[in-house]
Amino acid sequence: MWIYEKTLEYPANVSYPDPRMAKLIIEQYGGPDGELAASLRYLTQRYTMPIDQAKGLLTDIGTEELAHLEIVATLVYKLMEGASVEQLKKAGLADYYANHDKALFYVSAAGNPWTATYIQAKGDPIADLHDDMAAEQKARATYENLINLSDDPCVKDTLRFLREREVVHFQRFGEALRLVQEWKDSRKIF
Amino acid sequence: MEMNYDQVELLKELMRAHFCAVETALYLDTHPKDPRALADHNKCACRLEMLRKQYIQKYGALTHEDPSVYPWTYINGPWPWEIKY
Ligand SMILES: [Fe+2]
Repeated sequence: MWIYEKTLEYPANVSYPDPRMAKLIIEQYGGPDGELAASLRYLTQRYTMPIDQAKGLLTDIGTEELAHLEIVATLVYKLMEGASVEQLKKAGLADYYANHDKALFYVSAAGNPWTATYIQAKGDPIADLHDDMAAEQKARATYENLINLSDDPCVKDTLRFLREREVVHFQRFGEALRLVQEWKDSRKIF
Repeated sequence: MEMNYDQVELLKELMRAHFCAVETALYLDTHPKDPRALADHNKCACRLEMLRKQYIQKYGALTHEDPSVYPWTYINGPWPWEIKY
């Protein structure tokens, strides 16, 4: 089971409202390589992992991605807070506002709604862990793009933390892949 | 609904302790027999438990499983996305 704790994994501050940046960062909320996709990918792949290390790792990283989803949401929420309708229109958020006002919704920066087709679960642990490693690299690249697009030092700091975590996750998935491969090889012998 | 300085500082310390535990846990998932990492993790876990107790006693429940004085403190804002860290 999961229990909610009223803390963020890392502080998320903004220096000023910036709906233009909110529209871009929402990519990591509901986009193809965003935190929702990451969390749901790992949490659903864990059921068919053959070894305990991989079950544990997918559970824990899938859970950490939910914490990242909350950090991304906090950034978007704070960047939109206090922005006038006029400012939202200027930021290209008129169509978003028409449907959602300032509510958080699972869309990409281009406005595409989140879809399960963003993720995979093959039931083959080698294929799934390779998929996970690629997902982490794509998320890292997206965070780098977002860091380049922002000029708020507070926002950049939080995005850098999230980028860093993708690098760590990639590393851990690589180790899990090696462990699964060793497990498969050991079964071939006996 | 604003948090005072002391509360935010204790909260941030708690967040750092949480992070430390997450980081060591992920490492241990793929290195369960690394005694140094395990010692580090246990240190983080102890510190986290201490800070959680301290925070809850001073400022109220962090999860809905925590004990609370009257009235129910769990719902008290600001919520994590409303805090200026
Ligand atoms: Fe990740």
